[in-house]
Amino acid sequence: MSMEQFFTRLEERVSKSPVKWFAPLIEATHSFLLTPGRATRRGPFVRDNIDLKRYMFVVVVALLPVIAMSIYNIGRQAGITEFWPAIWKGLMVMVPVIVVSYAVGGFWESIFAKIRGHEINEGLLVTGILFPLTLPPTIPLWQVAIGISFGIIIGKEVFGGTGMNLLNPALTARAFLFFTYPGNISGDRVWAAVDGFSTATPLATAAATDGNAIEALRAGSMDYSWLNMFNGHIPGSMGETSTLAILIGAAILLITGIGSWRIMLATLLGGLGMASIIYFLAGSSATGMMSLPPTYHLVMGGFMFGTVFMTTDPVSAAGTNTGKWLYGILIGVMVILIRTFNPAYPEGMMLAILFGNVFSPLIDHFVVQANIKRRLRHV
Amino acid sequence: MNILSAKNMKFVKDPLMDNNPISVQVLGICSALAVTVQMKTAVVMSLAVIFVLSSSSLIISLIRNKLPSQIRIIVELAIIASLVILVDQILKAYLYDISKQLSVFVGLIITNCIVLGRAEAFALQQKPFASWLDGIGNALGYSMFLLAVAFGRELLGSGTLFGYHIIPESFYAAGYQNMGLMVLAPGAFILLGLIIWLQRAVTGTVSE
Amino acid sequence: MYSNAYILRFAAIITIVCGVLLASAATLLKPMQQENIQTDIKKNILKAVSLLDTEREYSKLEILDLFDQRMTSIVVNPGGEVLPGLKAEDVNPAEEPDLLPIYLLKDDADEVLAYCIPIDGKGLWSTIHGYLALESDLITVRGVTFYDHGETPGLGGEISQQWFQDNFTGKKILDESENLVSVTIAKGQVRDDAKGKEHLVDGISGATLTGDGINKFLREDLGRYNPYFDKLRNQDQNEVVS
Repeated sequence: MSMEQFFTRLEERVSKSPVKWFAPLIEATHSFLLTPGRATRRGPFVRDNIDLKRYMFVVVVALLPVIAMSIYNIGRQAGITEFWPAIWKGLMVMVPVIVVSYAVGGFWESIFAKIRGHEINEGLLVTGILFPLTLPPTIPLWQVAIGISFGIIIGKEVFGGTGMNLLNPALTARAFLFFTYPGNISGDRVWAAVDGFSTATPLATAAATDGNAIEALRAGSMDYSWLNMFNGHIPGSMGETSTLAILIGAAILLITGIGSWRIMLATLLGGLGMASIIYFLAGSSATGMMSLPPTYHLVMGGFMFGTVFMTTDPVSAAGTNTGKWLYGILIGVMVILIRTFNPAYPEGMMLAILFGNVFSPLIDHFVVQANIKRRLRHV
Repeated sequence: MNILSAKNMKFVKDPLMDNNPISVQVLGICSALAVTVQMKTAVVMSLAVIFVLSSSSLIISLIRNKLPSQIRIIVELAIIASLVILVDQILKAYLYDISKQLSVFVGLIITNCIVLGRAEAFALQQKPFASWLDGIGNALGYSMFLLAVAFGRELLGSGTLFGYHIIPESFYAAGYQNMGLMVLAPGAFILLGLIIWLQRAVTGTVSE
Repeated sequence: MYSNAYILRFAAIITIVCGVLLASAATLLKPMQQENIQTDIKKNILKAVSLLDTEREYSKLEILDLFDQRMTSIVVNPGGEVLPGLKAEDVNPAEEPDLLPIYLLKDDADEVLAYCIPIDGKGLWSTIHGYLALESDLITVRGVTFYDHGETPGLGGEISQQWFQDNFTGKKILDESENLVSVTIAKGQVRDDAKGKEHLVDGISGATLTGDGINKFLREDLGRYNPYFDKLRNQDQNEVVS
């Protein structure tokens, strides 16, 4: 019996049995392992032979380098210098978080699939892995469960499910945890998976200093040089630390055409532009965030992770090409503004992207209207 | 006239569910967000609104035939404002701690759309007793949601109800934490939205 | 249609009725409201000088009695001179920044046990109000209260919690050479081997900016009172010498 036959038969039997509410779950496993017989008709951007599942799958593949680097870095930040023990420690921290994220997320997906009478779709595949990567390694597992529940229910299902959501569900989940349990996600002590060890993240260091940010970064117990931060040997949320790994993921997304190069480039330019304006206007006597060179913003905090994996979420981003530019620039500018001028949130990426998500329908609306107006002139 | 006639009871019952000022008409949610961090403030606020709304409806209905329509809004406001200031003064004298927490929100009952709305939409046309019942019904509909939201916010946000610890210490020792978001205004929005979602899922009402 | 005269008459009657009602209510209730405001202030002062058991609620009467029995007040100027005849109740610090009220906790022998001063200033989001009490040596912090603020719940908002306020007790505001260094809220827990440990208060993780704000206005407020406190400290020493 082939796998295909096995699943077809299993589905038939289950859909007639008393446990028929399992059917969506089996369908999901089936279509994850094997090509489904039919392509998705609606949903984000069907083109060529790419359906929703393939689409999501490429994103997960692009995340693999980030996950690998993150596992290693968690171990290193916990003070383990040897390679394999560090990997082991990283796995021990990360695997439970990912498992909880998928399990609880899958639970809600199947409940809603059951109530609404549709199949479980693959949106969770990406949300369920993106969310853990935005969390600090010390996050308690029950908070992961509450966070992903909020992200799936309030971030997605109240709007009607995958494809209908206004906000990126993974970031909605993170924002919820950020404001609900601030001590666990923005404190000084949350960044390393070992007790009693506390280091401020590069962003927190730069924001808190009274002197030049670069000097403060080099002066601490960890050497926050640009190269170290680029490689990812710094404390931070699990997926955001290594810019190198994120760039590999970005290459995969761009080559396959899954991630929009317009959005990535626009966010990058918006961020660099705003940071340059602030850096040069502030002058050489500036302190704190004002004295941070623009290139440093790119390797600190969640800037690159957000740019590559979060802003490009096709559902919550702008859909038109001009809109994508505006959307990206808006996010890039907002990140730098929040980082530099808001004393309470040294990390601005999450809030900036959610802000951009909220504005993307409006941006699209005006782009479409402008287009109509221009075309009308030629009538 | 039968005081508890079906017609009279409808004045009270209708705004509790089918025509609730908060969940269906979505009026007066500003104060619903501001005073629902604790049960104690929510209860006092509810009582204040019940008093103001029923009294203002009653008084306006009593003078409705003498009231010149040209100046009716300002007269209604004067009556509502007087009642609200009266409540505020009494709270400051007898329940100082709570009035400090409620701060401007007692005063803002004046601008609560429900109060002026019932005066305009109901009390100006109806007999005093019916207006009084309508005022009570609407205020109770408002209070119901206020208390439901406050219940969720105080329990989840501070682990207490009416200031008494409900979540046992052992939970905290095991790593449980209060939800900071529930103490912030967005927490009230989210809870209110969930309650409205639940109500509409049960009653099946969907507004366009 | 109603005539203009009728409308005017109607408006006048409504105005008079509402006006009389509110005026009489306000006049009748005013004494009680004043008393409430005073009680509230007194309660926070008593808390700062650690006269209140934090575990139980006190009635209005208990607070007023306790305050009248144990507390007196004086007003000093920034030069450190006592302004005779003035009581703390008579001054409004918001309008007269040069009049500095001090509440004194006295024992039965009329010896001062503690000095309590109002402290307020900007935190991260809001103005924080509180009281700081010093022991009779004018060096050691006896207690502190923060009673009014709008800081982030769970982070900066923790300043109104008893465990945080207890951290201040026993800290010193002067260094060995008797210079005012105030007390400083540290970032997180103070290490046992930290330099100047007696001036450092355990901070709240994630509330660095609220702490910075408090540090700033504590130093400023203590600085304004310091001329008077300095005078008292020197007096004590002179008495010991003579």
